[in-house]
Amino acid sequence: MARTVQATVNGRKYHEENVEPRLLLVHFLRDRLGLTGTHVGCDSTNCGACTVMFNGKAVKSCTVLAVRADGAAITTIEGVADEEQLHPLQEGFWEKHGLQCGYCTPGMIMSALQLLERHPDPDEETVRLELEGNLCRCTGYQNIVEAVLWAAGRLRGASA
Amino acid sequence: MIPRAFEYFDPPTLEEAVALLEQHGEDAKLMAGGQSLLPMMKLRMVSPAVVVDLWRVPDLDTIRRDDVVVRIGAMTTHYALQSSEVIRNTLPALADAARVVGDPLVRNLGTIGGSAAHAAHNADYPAVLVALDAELQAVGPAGTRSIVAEDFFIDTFTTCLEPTEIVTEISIPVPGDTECSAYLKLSRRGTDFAIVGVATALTEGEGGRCDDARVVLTGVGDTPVRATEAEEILKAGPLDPERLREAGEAAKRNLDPPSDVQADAQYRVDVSGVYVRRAVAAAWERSQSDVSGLGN
Repeated sequence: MARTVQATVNGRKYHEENVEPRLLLVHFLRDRLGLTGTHVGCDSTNCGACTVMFNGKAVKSCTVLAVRADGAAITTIEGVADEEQLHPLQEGFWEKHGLQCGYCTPGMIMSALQLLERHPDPDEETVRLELEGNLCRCTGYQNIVEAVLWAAGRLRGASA
Repeated sequence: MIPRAFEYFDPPTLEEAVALLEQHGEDAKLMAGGQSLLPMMKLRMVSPAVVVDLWRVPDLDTIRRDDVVVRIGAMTTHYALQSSEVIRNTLPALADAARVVGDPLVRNLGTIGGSAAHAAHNADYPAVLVALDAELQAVGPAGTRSIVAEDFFIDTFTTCLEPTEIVTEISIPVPGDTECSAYLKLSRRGTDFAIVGVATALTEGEGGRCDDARVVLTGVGDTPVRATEAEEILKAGPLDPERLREAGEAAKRNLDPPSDVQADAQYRVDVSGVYVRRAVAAAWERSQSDVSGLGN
Protein backbone atom coordinates (compact mmCIF):
# COMPACT_ATOMS: atom_id res chain seq x y z
CA MET A 1 0.00 0.00 0.00
CA ALA A 2 1.70 3.14 -1.23
CA ARG A 3 2.01 6.11 1.06
CA THR A 4 2.43 9.83 0.91
CA VAL A 5 5.73 11.27 2.10
CA GLN A 6 6.10 14.91 3.05
CA ALA A 7 9.69 15.79 3.80
CA THR A 8 11.88 18.86 3.94
CA VAL A 9 15.00 18.31 1.87
CA ASN A 10 17.68 21.00 1.80
CA GLY A 11 15.14 23.43 3.21
CA ARG A 12 12.58 22.80 0.49
CA LYS A 13 9.28 21.03 1.18
CA TYR A 14 8.39 18.04 -0.97
CA HIS A 15 5.07 16.23 -1.17
CA GLU A 16 5.38 12.85 -2.86
CA GLU A 17 2.49 10.49 -3.31
CA ASN A 18 2.53 6.80 -4.11
CA VAL A 19 5.72 5.96 -2.27
CA GLU A 20 6.07 2.20 -2.09
CA PRO A 21 7.11 0.97 1.39
CA ARG A 22 10.09 -0.89 -0.07
CA LEU A 23 11.47 2.22 -1.75
CA LEU A 24 14.80 3.10 -0.17
CA LEU A 25 15.56 6.65 0.84
CA VAL A 26 18.49 6.89 -1.57
CA HIS A 27 16.25 6.04 -4.54
CA PHE A 28 13.59 8.41 -3.26
CA LEU A 29 16.14 11.24 -3.22
CA ARG A 30 17.69 10.38 -6.57
CA ASP A 31 14.80 9.13 -8.65
CA ARG A 32 11.80 10.93 -7.18
CA LEU A 33 13.38 14.24 -6.16
CA GLY A 34 16.15 14.29 -8.78
CA LEU A 35 18.87 14.86 -6.18
CA THR A 36 21.53 12.70 -7.75
CA GLY A 37 24.42 14.07 -5.71
CA THR A 38 23.77 11.28 -3.23
CA HIS A 39 25.43 8.22 -4.74
CA VAL A 40 24.62 4.53 -4.66
CA GLY A 41 27.88 2.71 -4.05
CA CYS A 42 27.88 -0.76 -2.54
CA ASP A 43 24.13 -0.74 -1.86
CA SER A 44 24.82 -3.02 1.10
CA THR A 45 25.35 -0.71 4.12
CA ASN A 46 29.12 -0.81 3.81
CA CYS A 47 30.50 2.05 1.75
CA GLY A 48 28.68 5.19 2.91
CA ALA A 49 28.52 6.82 -0.55
CA CYS A 50 24.79 7.36 0.07
CA THR A 51 25.25 9.20 3.39
CA VAL A 52 22.79 12.02 4.09
CA MET A 53 21.82 13.97 7.19
CA PHE A 54 18.48 12.64 8.40
CA ASN A 55 16.92 14.63 11.24
CA GLY A 56 20.39 15.84 12.19
CA LYS A 57 22.12 12.47 12.05
CA ALA A 58 24.32 11.09 9.28
CA VAL A 59 22.84 7.84 7.98
CA LYS A 60 23.27 5.48 5.06
CA SER A 61 20.26 6.29 2.89
CA CYS A 62 20.40 2.88 1.21
CA THR A 63 19.42 1.45 4.59
CA VAL A 64 16.44 3.63 5.44
CA LEU A 65 12.93 3.17 4.07
CA ALA A 66 11.71 6.27 2.25
CA VAL A 67 8.41 6.09 4.14
CA ARG A 68 10.36 6.96 7.29
CA ALA A 69 11.21 10.29 5.70
CA ASP A 70 7.64 11.45 6.27
CA GLY A 71 7.99 14.54 8.43
CA ALA A 72 11.78 14.37 8.33
CA ALA A 73 14.32 17.10 7.65
CA ILE A 74 17.03 15.87 5.31
CA THR A 75 20.21 17.49 4.05
CA THR A 76 21.99 16.06 1.02
CA ILE A 77 25.25 17.18 -0.55
CA GLU A 78 23.25 19.63 -2.69
CA GLY A 79 22.27 21.48 0.50
CA VAL A 80 25.72 21.86 2.02
CA ALA A 81 26.98 24.96 0.20
CA ASP A 82 25.57 28.38 1.03
CA GLU A 83 24.39 29.65 -2.37
CA GLU A 84 27.60 30.10 -4.35
CA GLN A 85 29.86 29.90 -1.30
CA LEU A 86 31.31 26.42 -0.79
CA HIS A 87 31.14 24.95 2.70
CA PRO A 88 34.60 24.84 4.36
CA LEU A 89 34.52 21.05 4.01
CA GLN A 90 33.98 21.36 0.28
CA GLU A 91 36.77 23.90 0.13
CA GLY A 92 38.96 21.55 2.16
CA PHE A 93 38.43 18.71 -0.29
CA TRP A 94 39.40 21.15 -3.05
CA GLU A 95 42.45 22.58 -1.28
CA LYS A 96 43.80 19.25 -0.03
CA HIS A 97 42.90 17.25 -3.10
CA GLY A 98 40.59 15.07 -1.01
CA LEU A 99 39.22 13.21 -3.98
CA GLN A 100 40.37 11.28 -6.98
CA CYS A 101 37.39 9.78 -8.79
CA GLY A 102 34.98 11.65 -6.52
CA TYR A 103 32.44 8.88 -6.13
CA CYS A 104 32.70 8.65 -2.34
CA THR A 105 33.02 12.41 -1.86
CA PRO A 106 29.38 13.38 -1.18
CA GLY A 107 29.13 10.67 1.49
CA MET A 108 32.51 11.60 2.94
CA ILE A 109 31.44 15.22 3.26
CA MET A 110 28.11 14.34 4.89
CA SER A 111 29.84 12.09 7.41
CA ALA A 112 32.49 14.74 8.00
CA LEU A 113 29.78 17.33 8.70
CA GLN A 114 28.57 15.21 11.58
CA LEU A 115 32.11 14.50 12.68
CA LEU A 116 32.84 18.22 13.00
CA GLU A 117 29.57 18.84 14.83
CA ARG A 118 30.51 16.19 17.38
CA HIS A 119 34.25 16.93 17.44
CA PRO A 120 34.97 20.55 16.46
CA ASP A 121 38.69 20.11 17.15
CA PRO A 122 39.41 16.52 16.12
CA ASP A 123 42.80 14.86 16.01
CA GLU A 124 43.73 12.67 13.08
CA GLU A 125 42.73 9.44 14.83
CA THR A 126 39.27 10.80 15.59
CA VAL A 127 38.79 11.76 11.96
CA ARG A 128 39.81 8.30 10.81
CA LEU A 129 37.56 6.55 13.34
CA GLU A 130 34.55 8.73 12.62
CA LEU A 131 34.91 8.14 8.88
CA GLU A 132 35.00 4.37 9.36
CA GLY A 133 31.61 4.01 7.70
CA ASN A 134 32.81 5.58 4.44
CA LEU A 135 34.98 3.75 1.97
CA CYS A 136 37.16 5.31 -0.75
CA ARG A 137 38.07 2.77 -3.39
CA CYS A 138 40.77 5.09 -4.71
CA THR A 139 42.14 4.73 -1.14
CA GLY A 140 42.75 8.44 -0.98
CA TYR A 141 42.21 8.49 2.77
CA GLN A 142 45.31 10.52 3.56
CA ASN A 143 44.08 13.56 1.67
CA ILE A 144 40.50 13.08 2.87
CA VAL A 145 41.72 13.22 6.46
CA GLU A 146 43.79 16.30 5.67
CA ALA A 147 40.78 17.94 4.02
CA VAL A 148 38.64 17.37 7.10
CA LEU A 149 41.33 18.66 9.44
CA TRP A 150 41.75 21.72 7.21
CA ALA A 151 38.00 22.36 7.33
CA ALA A 152 37.97 21.92 11.11
CA GLY A 153 40.58 24.66 11.38
CA ARG A 154 38.61 26.95 9.07
CA LEU A 155 35.38 26.40 10.97
CA ARG A 156 37.04 27.06 14.33
CA GLY A 157 38.58 30.22 12.91
CA ALA A 158 35.19 31.32 11.60
CA SER A 159 33.50 30.79 14.96
CA ALA A 160 36.33 32.27 17.06
CA MET B 1 19.21 -4.08 -4.44
CA ILE B 2 15.55 -3.69 -3.56
CA PRO B 3 13.63 -5.71 -0.98
CA ARG B 4 10.68 -7.78 -2.13
CA ALA B 5 7.39 -5.94 -1.76
CA PHE B 6 5.86 -6.06 1.72
CA GLU B 7 2.96 -4.61 3.60
CA TYR B 8 4.12 -1.88 5.95
CA PHE B 9 2.72 -0.75 9.27
CA ASP B 10 4.17 1.82 11.65
CA PRO B 11 1.81 1.78 14.61
CA PRO B 12 2.04 4.57 17.19
CA THR B 13 1.64 2.27 20.23
CA LEU B 14 3.05 -1.01 21.47
CA GLU B 15 -0.48 -2.39 21.89
CA GLU B 16 -1.18 -1.88 18.21
CA ALA B 17 2.18 -3.37 17.28
CA VAL B 18 1.42 -6.49 19.32
CA ALA B 19 -2.04 -6.71 17.70
CA LEU B 20 -0.44 -6.56 14.26
CA LEU B 21 1.96 -9.34 15.21
CA GLU B 22 -0.97 -11.43 16.45
CA GLN B 23 -2.81 -10.79 13.21
CA HIS B 24 0.09 -11.62 10.89
CA GLY B 25 1.96 -14.23 12.90
CA GLU B 26 5.22 -15.45 11.41
CA ASP B 27 4.64 -13.50 8.18
CA ALA B 28 5.54 -10.33 10.09
CA LYS B 29 8.96 -8.95 11.02
CA LEU B 30 9.55 -6.17 13.50
CA MET B 31 11.82 -3.34 12.44
CA ALA B 32 13.73 -1.27 15.00
CA GLY B 33 16.66 0.65 13.48
CA GLY B 34 16.57 -1.53 10.39
CA GLN B 35 20.35 -1.74 10.15
CA SER B 36 20.40 -5.54 10.11
CA LEU B 37 16.92 -6.32 8.81
CA LEU B 38 17.03 -4.03 5.76
CA PRO B 39 20.36 -5.31 4.44
CA MET B 40 19.05 -8.86 4.80
CA MET B 41 15.83 -7.91 3.02
CA LYS B 42 17.80 -6.26 0.22
CA LEU B 43 19.90 -9.40 -0.17
CA ARG B 44 16.57 -11.30 -0.02
CA MET B 45 17.89 -13.50 2.72
CA VAL B 46 14.59 -12.65 4.38
CA SER B 47 11.45 -11.42 2.65
CA PRO B 48 8.76 -10.80 5.23
CA ALA B 49 5.25 -10.28 3.88
CA VAL B 50 4.64 -7.70 6.60
CA VAL B 51 6.98 -5.22 8.29
CA VAL B 52 5.90 -3.69 11.58
CA ASP B 53 8.12 -0.66 12.11
CA LEU B 54 8.46 0.57 15.70
CA TRP B 55 9.87 4.01 14.90
CA ARG B 56 6.69 5.91 15.81
CA VAL B 57 6.27 4.27 19.22
CA PRO B 58 7.28 6.92 21.78
CA ASP B 59 9.43 6.54 24.90
CA LEU B 60 11.28 3.39 23.87
CA ASP B 61 14.66 5.14 23.75
CA THR B 62 15.25 6.34 27.29
CA ILE B 63 18.14 5.47 29.61
CA ARG B 64 17.23 5.58 33.30
CA ARG B 65 19.32 4.66 36.31
CA ASP B 66 18.37 4.30 39.95
CA ASP B 67 20.33 2.78 42.85
CA VAL B 68 19.93 -0.79 41.73
CA VAL B 69 19.25 -0.98 38.02
CA VAL B 70 19.91 0.73 34.68
CA ARG B 71 16.90 0.55 32.36
CA ILE B 72 17.55 1.00 28.67
CA GLY B 73 14.70 1.39 26.21
CA ALA B 74 14.89 -1.15 23.40
CA MET B 75 14.99 1.56 20.71
CA THR B 76 18.02 3.29 22.25
CA THR B 77 20.60 3.69 19.51
CA HIS B 78 24.19 2.56 19.73
CA TYR B 79 25.26 6.19 19.46
CA ALA B 80 23.01 7.17 22.38
CA LEU B 81 24.57 4.39 24.45
CA GLN B 82 28.17 5.18 23.56
CA SER B 83 27.68 8.85 24.35
CA SER B 84 25.70 8.33 27.58
CA GLU B 85 27.58 9.34 30.74
CA VAL B 86 25.41 6.94 32.73
CA ILE B 87 26.35 4.00 30.52
CA ARG B 88 30.03 4.92 30.34
CA ASN B 89 30.31 5.34 34.10
CA THR B 90 28.06 2.52 35.23
CA LEU B 91 28.36 -0.16 32.57
CA PRO B 92 31.69 0.36 30.79
CA ALA B 93 31.49 -2.97 28.92
CA LEU B 94 28.24 -1.86 27.33
CA ALA B 95 29.79 1.46 26.28
CA ASP B 96 32.78 -0.47 24.88
CA ALA B 97 30.41 -2.56 22.78
CA ALA B 98 28.20 0.34 21.67
CA ARG B 99 31.14 2.22 20.18
CA VAL B 100 32.29 -0.72 18.06
CA VAL B 101 28.96 -1.86 16.64
CA GLY B 102 28.91 -1.27 12.88
CA ASP B 103 30.20 2.21 12.06
CA PRO B 104 29.18 5.75 13.11
CA LEU B 105 26.43 5.90 10.47
CA VAL B 106 24.95 2.56 11.45
CA ARG B 107 25.20 3.52 15.13
CA ASN B 108 22.94 6.52 14.52
CA LEU B 109 20.03 4.23 13.62
CA GLY B 110 20.75 0.76 14.96
CA THR B 111 19.31 -0.08 18.38
CA ILE B 112 20.24 -2.31 21.28
CA GLY B 113 16.85 -4.02 21.34
CA GLY B 114 16.96 -4.66 17.62
CA SER B 115 20.46 -6.09 17.83
CA ALA B 116 19.54 -8.32 20.77
CA ALA B 117 16.38 -9.63 19.09
CA HIS B 118 18.26 -10.12 15.81
CA ALA B 119 20.67 -12.36 17.75
CA ALA B 120 23.47 -12.63 15.21
CA HIS B 121 25.99 -15.14 16.56
CA ASN B 122 28.82 -12.64 16.14
CA ALA B 123 27.06 -9.49 17.38
CA ASP B 124 28.60 -7.46 20.18
CA TYR B 125 25.74 -6.96 22.65
CA PRO B 126 24.65 -10.55 23.36
CA ALA B 127 27.92 -11.44 25.10
CA VAL B 128 27.86 -8.16 27.05
CA LEU B 129 24.26 -8.67 28.16
CA VAL B 130 25.07 -12.15 29.44
CA ALA B 131 28.24 -10.93 31.19
CA LEU B 132 26.37 -8.06 32.88
CA ASP B 133 23.49 -10.36 33.91
CA ALA B 134 20.94 -8.30 31.98
CA GLU B 135 17.25 -9.03 31.76
CA LEU B 136 15.14 -8.31 28.71
CA GLN B 137 11.55 -7.16 29.14
CA ALA B 138 9.16 -8.33 26.46
CA VAL B 139 5.53 -7.41 25.89
CA GLY B 140 3.07 -9.69 24.15
CA PRO B 141 -0.64 -10.50 24.04
CA ALA B 142 -0.46 -12.04 27.53
CA GLY B 143 1.29 -9.04 29.07
CA THR B 144 4.93 -8.50 29.93
CA ARG B 145 7.62 -10.89 31.05
CA SER B 146 11.26 -10.65 31.98
CA ILE B 147 13.88 -12.93 30.42
CA VAL B 148 17.40 -13.45 31.73
CA ALA B 149 19.94 -12.76 28.95
CA GLU B 150 21.50 -16.19 29.32
CA ASP B 151 18.12 -17.78 28.49
CA PHE B 152 17.25 -15.28 25.77
CA PHE B 153 19.71 -16.37 23.07
CA ILE B 154 18.86 -19.82 21.74
CA ASP B 155 20.58 -20.07 18.36
CA THR B 156 21.90 -17.88 15.56
CA PHE B 157 19.12 -15.43 14.67
CA THR B 158 16.89 -17.19 17.20
CA THR B 159 15.75 -15.99 20.62
CA CYS B 160 13.18 -17.32 23.04
CA LEU B 161 10.75 -14.57 22.00
CA GLU B 162 7.37 -15.65 20.69
CA PRO B 163 6.48 -14.24 17.25
CA THR B 164 3.99 -11.95 18.99
CA GLU B 165 6.44 -10.54 21.55
CA ILE B 166 8.40 -7.29 21.42
CA VAL B 167 11.49 -6.43 23.48
CA THR B 168 10.75 -3.12 25.17
CA GLU B 169 13.53 -2.67 27.68
CA ILE B 170 16.83 -4.07 28.84
CA SER B 171 17.59 -3.83 32.52
CA ILE B 172 21.03 -4.31 33.97
CA PRO B 173 21.93 -4.36 37.68
CA VAL B 174 24.03 -1.40 38.83
CA PRO B 175 27.44 -2.89 39.65
CA GLY B 176 28.89 -2.43 43.12
CA ASP B 177 31.98 -0.32 43.83
CA THR B 178 34.27 -3.33 43.50
CA GLU B 179 32.87 -4.47 40.16
CA CYS B 180 34.11 -3.58 36.73
CA SER B 181 33.61 -4.72 33.17
CA ALA B 182 35.04 -4.51 29.68
CA TYR B 183 34.30 -5.66 26.16
CA LEU B 184 36.99 -6.21 23.57
CA LYS B 185 36.38 -7.04 19.93
CA LEU B 186 38.57 -8.24 17.11
CA SER B 187 37.38 -7.30 13.64
CA ARG B 188 39.24 -6.58 10.45
CA ARG B 189 37.52 -3.28 9.67
CA GLY B 190 35.03 -0.94 11.22
CA THR B 191 31.53 -1.99 10.12
CA ASP B 192 32.39 -5.68 10.55
CA PHE B 193 30.95 -8.13 13.00
CA ALA B 194 33.27 -9.66 15.57
CA ILE B 195 35.71 -12.36 14.57
CA VAL B 196 35.90 -12.85 18.32
CA GLY B 197 34.58 -10.61 21.06
CA VAL B 198 34.99 -11.02 24.82
CA ALA B 199 32.82 -9.45 27.49
CA THR B 200 33.89 -9.72 31.08
CA ALA B 201 32.59 -8.58 34.45
CA LEU B 202 34.76 -8.92 37.54
CA THR B 203 34.32 -8.37 41.26
CA GLU B 204 37.48 -7.37 43.06
CA GLY B 205 38.06 -9.04 46.41
CA GLU B 206 40.68 -8.94 49.18
CA GLY B 207 44.37 -9.46 48.47
CA GLY B 208 44.27 -9.02 44.72
CA ARG B 209 41.71 -11.77 44.33
CA CYS B 210 38.82 -11.78 41.99
CA ASP B 211 35.71 -12.84 43.95
CA ASP B 212 33.47 -13.20 40.98
CA ALA B 213 34.09 -13.37 37.26
CA ARG B 214 31.95 -13.70 34.20
CA VAL B 215 33.65 -14.22 30.85
CA VAL B 216 31.47 -14.45 27.75
CA LEU B 217 32.56 -14.80 24.13
CA THR B 218 30.84 -13.87 20.90
CA GLY B 219 31.61 -15.09 17.39
CA VAL B 220 32.67 -18.56 18.50
CA GLY B 221 29.32 -20.37 18.71
CA ASP B 222 25.65 -20.13 17.83
CA THR B 223 24.98 -18.06 20.95
CA PRO B 224 27.13 -16.19 23.46
CA VAL B 225 29.53 -18.74 24.99
CA ARG B 226 30.31 -18.52 28.67
CA ALA B 227 33.87 -19.56 29.51
CA THR B 228 33.00 -21.17 32.83
CA GLU B 229 36.32 -22.95 33.24
CA ALA B 230 38.17 -19.66 32.78
CA GLU B 231 35.84 -18.03 35.29
CA GLU B 232 36.67 -20.67 37.92
CA ILE B 233 40.40 -20.18 37.36
CA LEU B 234 40.08 -16.41 37.74
CA LYS B 235 38.30 -16.87 41.07
CA ALA B 236 40.75 -19.45 42.46
CA GLY B 237 43.53 -17.12 43.65
CA PRO B 238 45.17 -13.73 43.31
CA LEU B 239 44.91 -12.38 39.79
CA ASP B 240 48.43 -12.33 38.39
CA PRO B 241 49.77 -12.70 34.85
CA GLU B 242 50.11 -16.48 35.22
CA ARG B 243 46.51 -16.92 36.35
CA LEU B 244 45.40 -14.68 33.51
CA ARG B 245 47.31 -16.81 31.03
CA GLU B 246 45.76 -19.98 32.45
CA ALA B 247 42.30 -18.47 32.17
CA GLY B 248 42.97 -17.61 28.53
CA GLU B 249 44.10 -21.17 27.84
CA ALA B 250 41.04 -22.55 29.64
CA ALA B 251 38.72 -20.39 27.53
CA LYS B 252 40.13 -22.03 24.39
CA ARG B 253 39.21 -25.53 25.52
CA ASN B 254 35.92 -26.96 24.30
CA LEU B 255 35.38 -24.11 21.83
CA ASP B 256 33.94 -25.15 18.49
CA PRO B 257 33.86 -21.92 16.49
CA PRO B 258 32.85 -21.58 12.84
CA SER B 259 35.21 -20.96 9.93
CA ASP B 260 34.36 -18.25 7.44
CA VAL B 261 35.97 -15.84 5.02
CA GLN B 262 37.27 -13.70 7.89
CA ALA B 263 38.98 -16.38 9.97
CA ASP B 264 39.16 -20.13 10.28
CA ALA B 265 38.08 -22.01 13.38
CA GLN B 266 41.58 -22.56 14.76
CA TYR B 267 42.40 -18.86 14.46
CA ARG B 268 39.24 -18.04 16.41
CA VAL B 269 40.26 -20.51 19.12
CA ASP B 270 43.75 -19.03 19.40
CA VAL B 271 42.59 -15.45 19.40
CA SER B 272 39.92 -16.25 21.99
CA GLY B 273 42.65 -17.05 24.49
CA VAL B 274 44.43 -13.78 23.78
CA TYR B 275 41.25 -11.70 23.92
CA VAL B 276 40.04 -13.30 27.16
CA ARG B 277 43.37 -12.32 28.69
CA ARG B 278 43.23 -8.78 27.37
CA ALA B 279 39.57 -8.20 28.24
CA VAL B 280 40.02 -9.45 31.80
CA ALA B 281 43.15 -7.31 32.19
CA ALA B 282 41.28 -4.27 30.86
CA ALA B 283 38.37 -4.75 33.25
CA TRP B 284 40.71 -5.44 36.17
CA GLU B 285 42.75 -2.33 35.54
CA ARG B 286 39.58 -0.28 35.45
CA SER B 287 38.72 -1.60 38.91
CA GLN B 288 42.11 -0.66 40.35
CA SER B 289 43.08 2.94 40.76
CA ASP B 290 46.79 2.39 41.18
CA VAL B 291 47.58 -1.18 40.22
CA SER B 292 48.53 -2.31 36.79
CA GLY B 293 51.13 -4.64 35.45
CA LEU B 294 48.93 -7.43 34.13
CA GLY B 295 49.93 -6.26 30.68
CA ASN B 296 48.24 -8.00 27.82
